[in-house]
Amino acid sequence: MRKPSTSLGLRAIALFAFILVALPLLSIFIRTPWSELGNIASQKTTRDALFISLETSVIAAIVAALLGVPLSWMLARSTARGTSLVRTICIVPMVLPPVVGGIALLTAFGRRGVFGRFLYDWWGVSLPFTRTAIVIAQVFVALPFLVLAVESAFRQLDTGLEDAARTMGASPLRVFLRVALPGARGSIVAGIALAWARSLGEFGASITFAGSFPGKTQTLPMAVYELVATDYRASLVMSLILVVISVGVIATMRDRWMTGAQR
Amino acid sequence: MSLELHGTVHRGDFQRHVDVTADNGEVVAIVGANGSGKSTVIHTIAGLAALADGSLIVNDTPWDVPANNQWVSPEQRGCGVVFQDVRLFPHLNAVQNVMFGLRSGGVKRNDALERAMETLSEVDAHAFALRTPASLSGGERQRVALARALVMKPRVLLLDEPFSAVDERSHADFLQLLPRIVRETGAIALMVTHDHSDVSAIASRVVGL
Repeated sequence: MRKPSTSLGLRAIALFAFILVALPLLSIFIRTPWSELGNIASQKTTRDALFISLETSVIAAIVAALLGVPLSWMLARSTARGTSLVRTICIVPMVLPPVVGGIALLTAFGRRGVFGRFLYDWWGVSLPFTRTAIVIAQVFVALPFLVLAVESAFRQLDTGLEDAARTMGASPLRVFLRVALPGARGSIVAGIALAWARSLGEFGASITFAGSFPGKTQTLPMAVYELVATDYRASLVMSLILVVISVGVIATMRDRWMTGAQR
Repeated sequence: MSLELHGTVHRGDFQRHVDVTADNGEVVAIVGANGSGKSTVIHTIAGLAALADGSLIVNDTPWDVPANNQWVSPEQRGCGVVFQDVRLFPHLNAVQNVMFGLRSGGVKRNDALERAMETLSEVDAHAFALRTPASLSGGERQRVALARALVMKPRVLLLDEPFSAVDERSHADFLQLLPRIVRETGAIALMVTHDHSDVSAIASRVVGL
């Protein structure tokens, strides 16, 4: 087999980069108190946090898909002025410090917030510090990841197929549902998985907007953070759970993210 | 049934004035060198490209008259189109491809399936009804594309080099089938071709570009 020709210097840099990422992850595996794993994992705090994390992140991924896929389609196909601005605003949460996202959500949807006051005054709905608030925070943070993946896939689709569908009398909605969605299916699945993984790991926006109340709004990352000071071994076990899930998602979806719309 | 196209077709920087006239039951051949705008004419009549000026009138209905802002969308034109690059939906099998337009028009699934199978039989493509486009040969794909256009019983049939990949026997079959269908349905067929024998075999009118 032919060996790729790469310089020794480049290989050394690549190896260093790999170690920088892999070593901390490996350290969690090494330091995890394996003998207490079952005991810690079955504690109420851990079980509650894991359940809340799974429940909210799955709902957030579904909401992100229901909102994000049509948004991605509009961004990919719209020629209207301002599309670029809308795209920029939609992906801002990706680079925004999550805690700032939480402040923004609190300012918008807090009980005395810009919009939240109407929710509270008119319908008595108060969003902050509820499980719904976690979902909103997760969608806010995860949506850009889904939109970037799916919009790129829609852009790569052959518009000739959409034209063909239109000549056959297909409405714009039918073109979207029956031609574009199946064409981008692989990337949509990958985008949802990415949004779910991002939601599962969400911390800054959630803790600011929803608080960290055990059994109510405390997700796994929040529990890890709170236990670092008091019960480091428990926080290690919870971290291990998150690492295993993350590695699983990446391993399953790696090919789809690498190849875009083709899969 | 009549079609009158007099105006400038364009796509990107390309522009060309064309005059195309067709009547009930006619097969009109559009011939010309590569890059002369033959496919652009097909796209313009299908509604996938707009005229720069002039008019496209079908059965006294203005489909595209830019000066008067008159425009009928491709969904409403009801053209049957066989594209040069076929454009079968890759995620659907042959019969589902043929059913697509019928289902878009609200035809019930079972009725659509029956009509699609009949049309596939007409073009001798029923044997691979359940296969996906990726598993078909070029000629087989063109048969399915033809069935997909014919199943709608279109008033205007647009064919962009529809027989370029079919074998000789099928080619001969299609040259008999096409004028018969056009005659029976009172439609108009416009066919882009490089093949002079096609022109002399079935075209009642020739438009040179």
